[in-house]
Amino acid sequence: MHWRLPRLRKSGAMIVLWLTVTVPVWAHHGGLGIEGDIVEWSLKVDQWQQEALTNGHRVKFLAYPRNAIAHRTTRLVFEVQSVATGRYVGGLTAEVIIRTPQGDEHVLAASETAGVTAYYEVPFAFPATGEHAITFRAHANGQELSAFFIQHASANPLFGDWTTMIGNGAILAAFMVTWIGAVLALQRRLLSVVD
Amino acid sequence: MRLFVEYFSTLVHLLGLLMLAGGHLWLALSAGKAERSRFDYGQRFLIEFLPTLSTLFGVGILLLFFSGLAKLLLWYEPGFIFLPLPYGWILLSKLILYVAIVVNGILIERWHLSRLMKLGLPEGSDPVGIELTHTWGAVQRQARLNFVLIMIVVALGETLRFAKM
Repeated sequence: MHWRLPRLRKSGAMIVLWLTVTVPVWAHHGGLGIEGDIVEWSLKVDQWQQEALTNGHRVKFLAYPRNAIAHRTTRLVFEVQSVATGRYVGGLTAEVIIRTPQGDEHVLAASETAGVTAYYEVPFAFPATGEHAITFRAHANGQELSAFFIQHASANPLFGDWTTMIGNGAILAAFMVTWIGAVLALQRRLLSVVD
Repeated sequence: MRLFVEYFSTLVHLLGLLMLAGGHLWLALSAGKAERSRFDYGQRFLIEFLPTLSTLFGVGILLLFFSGLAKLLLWYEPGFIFLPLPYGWILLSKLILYVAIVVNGILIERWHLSRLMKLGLPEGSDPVGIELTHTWGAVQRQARLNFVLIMIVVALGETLRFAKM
């Protein structure tokens, strides 16, 4: 039996060495879903939701809150950047055209946010639920910039898009198990006092 | 007010974490030590102390849940957990693990803890019975599983600090 131990140790060490060498290859071929360092991966993400290219300019868009609710004010924020130079383009006179699912159009002036170059913002309460077509329009160096985005508006905060549903479901599940756990724990303690 | 709620809920969250994660760590270390001991005093002490420990864990869970909820309400947006940002996915993983931890805790308390209480500790120098040892072993196994899950949740919580919203 004793003579086997060194051999076992040796083969164990060989397996560990082999795993050390081959694991990066396995990881590269997937299974993890996230490539690289998770912290690095998290930091790469920015908050812009959509972007469009128009006449050599990149127009980015975000709605705050991200999941717009009908009849509640949502901030629509745009950023304009030159693709060639990477410079942010401020001082534009911009307008935003919002077309509702029913076909009504609203034209609003998007003023540049004070103190933040190239940020153009307009507050808007979506009058109906469904997908709204949003067009950002401005002129830069004699060229027309026209970028098109889609923003969904939900009827209420509970049943919006899938992200809202999953979020609410997760919170509800956490609340339910906490509640059930608390009730059962109290029941056990109170019943043991009664007994 | 906003700042106060943020600060206070963070403080309560840490306190809950101390009770739940710290309590599990202490239990795991003490159980390991008791297992290695030639005498059963440690084991007896831990079995006797389990109901108090279970209450401590329960209070820790409640503190963690309500302080976490307070933070989510403070930074509210529809869907609460900021999906589909990476922050939201990490938070969702945290919540799923939280549910697993609580369910495991409920199972420990309903099945094993009640069983241990019913069996009771033998008097004086009488040896601990096989059934009691078996149930105590099951408690330890499930508590260790919970400890691992809690540590993963703690790691995810730390990752959230680096995830942009």
